[in-house]
Amino acid sequence: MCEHDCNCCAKSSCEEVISPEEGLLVYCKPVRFYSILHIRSLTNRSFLARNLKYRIRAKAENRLRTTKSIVFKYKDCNNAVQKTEVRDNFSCPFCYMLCGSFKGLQLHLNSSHEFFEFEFEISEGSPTVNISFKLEEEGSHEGKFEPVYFRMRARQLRQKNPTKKNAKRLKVSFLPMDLPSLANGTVTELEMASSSNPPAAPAQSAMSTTEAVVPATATATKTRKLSAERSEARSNQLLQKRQFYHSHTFQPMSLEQVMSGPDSEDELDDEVADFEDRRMLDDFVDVSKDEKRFMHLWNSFVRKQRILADGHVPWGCEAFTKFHKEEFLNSPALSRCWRIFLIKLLQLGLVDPRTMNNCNLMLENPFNNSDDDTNNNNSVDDINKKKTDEEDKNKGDEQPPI
Amino acid sequence: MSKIALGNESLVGSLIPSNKKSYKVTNRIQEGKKPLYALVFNFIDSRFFKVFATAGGNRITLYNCVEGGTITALQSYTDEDKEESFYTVSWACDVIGNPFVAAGGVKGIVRVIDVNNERIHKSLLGHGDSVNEIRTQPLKPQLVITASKDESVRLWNIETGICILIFAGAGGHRYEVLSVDFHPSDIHRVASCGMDTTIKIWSMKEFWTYVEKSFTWTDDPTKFPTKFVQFPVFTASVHTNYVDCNRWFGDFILSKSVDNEILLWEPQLKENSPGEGTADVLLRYPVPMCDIWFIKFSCDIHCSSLAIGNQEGKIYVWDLQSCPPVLISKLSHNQSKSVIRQTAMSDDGNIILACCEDGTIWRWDAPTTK
Repeated sequence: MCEHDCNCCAKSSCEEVISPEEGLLVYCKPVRFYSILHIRSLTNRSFLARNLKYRIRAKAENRLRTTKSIVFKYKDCNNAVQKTEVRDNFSCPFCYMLCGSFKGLQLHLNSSHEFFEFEFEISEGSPTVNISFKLEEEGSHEGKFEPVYFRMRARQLRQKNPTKKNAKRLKVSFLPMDLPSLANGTVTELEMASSSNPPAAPAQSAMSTTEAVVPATATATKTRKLSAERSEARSNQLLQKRQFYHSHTFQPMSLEQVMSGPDSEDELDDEVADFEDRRMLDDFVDVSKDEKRFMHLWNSFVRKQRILADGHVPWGCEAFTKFHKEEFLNSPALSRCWRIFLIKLLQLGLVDPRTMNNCNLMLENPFNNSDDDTNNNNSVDDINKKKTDEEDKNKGDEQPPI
Repeated sequence: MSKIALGNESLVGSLIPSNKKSYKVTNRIQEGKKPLYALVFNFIDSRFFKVFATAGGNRITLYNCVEGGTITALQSYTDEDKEESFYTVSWACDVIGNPFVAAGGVKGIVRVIDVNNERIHKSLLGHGDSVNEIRTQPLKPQLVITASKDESVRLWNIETGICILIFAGAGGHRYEVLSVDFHPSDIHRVASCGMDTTIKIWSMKEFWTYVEKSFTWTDDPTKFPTKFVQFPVFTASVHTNYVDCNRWFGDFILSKSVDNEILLWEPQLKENSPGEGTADVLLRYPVPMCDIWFIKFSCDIHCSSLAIGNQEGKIYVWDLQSCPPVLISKLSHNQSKSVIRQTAMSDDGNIILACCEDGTIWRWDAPTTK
């Protein structure tokens, strides 16, 4: 509220400027509607309640009060729950899109995943989404972008669990399950099932008023937590039951290792990689010692910082210069190799003259910069920070002479 | 890849025995019905030079060779897994000097037996397939190296049960590894050979800190930072068929393929370019009727002579000190008809043991002249 008061102080000065603009905005695209509201809110306090920022903040508060996880129940044609999934942050279970709110999720699911029937419940307090196959009358979708044959197949396969994976590969995986007798029987069953489900409307209304939600959430979160805990316990049990072997050394892994967070299996062994790189470079006969040293520095830098695409190279060059500045300053031969390499990169079109200039400036005026501590323990983030700092500084330095 | 140097004709040994030493059968033991694949004297501990171990089926047996031809059984271990079939056995010891026996076979598990306490000290898991050979580092007998069907060679510390290094990957073997051996004096060097017809020399100099670390490791052995050695320092193609046995002979290598001969050759590594070099074959020791794989030879402790059995139960004893090669003796017995999988020469070369496919152990003694 304080903010708005402050904004209001400026209103007298803005008012005259805005009013003609405001008039024009009325005829602009609907997207602009919110900006109109915003401008009005500055001048007209009654618009405050409609101010978008205000709404967003209120919603965020609401969201904080309610827990973010939502239970998805996948139901088969007999309306029996086949699978339960708990997802956080209102994310879509099919495409992982973050919808921001329960309502957003509702809109997203209904508009983007139209092969399924969704029922949204928070009547008992827990935001639950019941997912089942949409089984409509044949031809009802004619004219829509979905081909008819797909509907028919979708109907035939209803006795398979409509799990997440199945949904994604609907057309392929369900085809062989063609049993005409079942297909005939299930349409009506499902229709009955869906009609017996509570309508979605109450859920929406409950969501919009926080008072209605708050008392129910306590029990709801408890049950939800229970189900989430149960599924976690089950997967933990599976992890404990089996003997796991490390994919690199094929040695049995202790339970502690299996359960621990860090994954040791996709790490590149930098030490060994460095050693192998050095050995590979040693094979070259017509390369000087400094050149080999430079190649090794560059190779290990590129590997560690994952400079993979052409677009990474300009950043890489500047960070590399910064990272090994001391070494370059101490060894003119080494920095000569680096400059020749930069020219090569320039010829190949991987760096622009500006990057080259930046790199050379770093090596030419090393004492202009206050942060001289370019020891090799710096993390990339540090380099990044320094990089932006330095760019700013360079801009400052460059201006006076110009 | 190595090149075979041109212009250097290797000398072939004559098959006429010189008989400068003659051996006589002094004992024959039928251990069981199952084939015996390995037998080896304990060269690790001078107190037990005449003690040997055999491996066959799911059984490891320890014997003592007594003067005068007697063999006494000391201990026998049977693996609880009836499907296990041991292919190889090697002596080792802990840092205090207690004798250990390491054995491996079709299951890929290396069993380390604490002989004094008559129990399993460690079971080393990691190989994805059969273990074809185990050898012990003579300078540090806690280190054991294994060659496996899974195309890898692994270095273990049997005392702590740690897999220290894995020699496999981009430059590794491309088929079953059948044999492996530690260099007698250069502790960093290892040679391995296998079905891909190559012999690879590996160096673990750069990885030696990990070997040292394995001795002081107190955490769970499976958490040890096992390293991969992907590139050998030398790859030799002196054979054109399976190479099923190789042994260092000083800086030279004795290797046997399935084409009826053992080669003595010199790996000539180029100073500054690892992986390249030439192999110079110096001597050839013919061994008739020896063209099936998994027949291994053995030398005495000084590498002065070599014994190898063949598929019709005969043993050829070659003098390794003479050039051109001299056949010391050809041992045959009318009841020895079965394939001899491995021989074992005693430290002084006066006893030769042979283990056969039919489960028999033969003992040959050279009468001591004085």
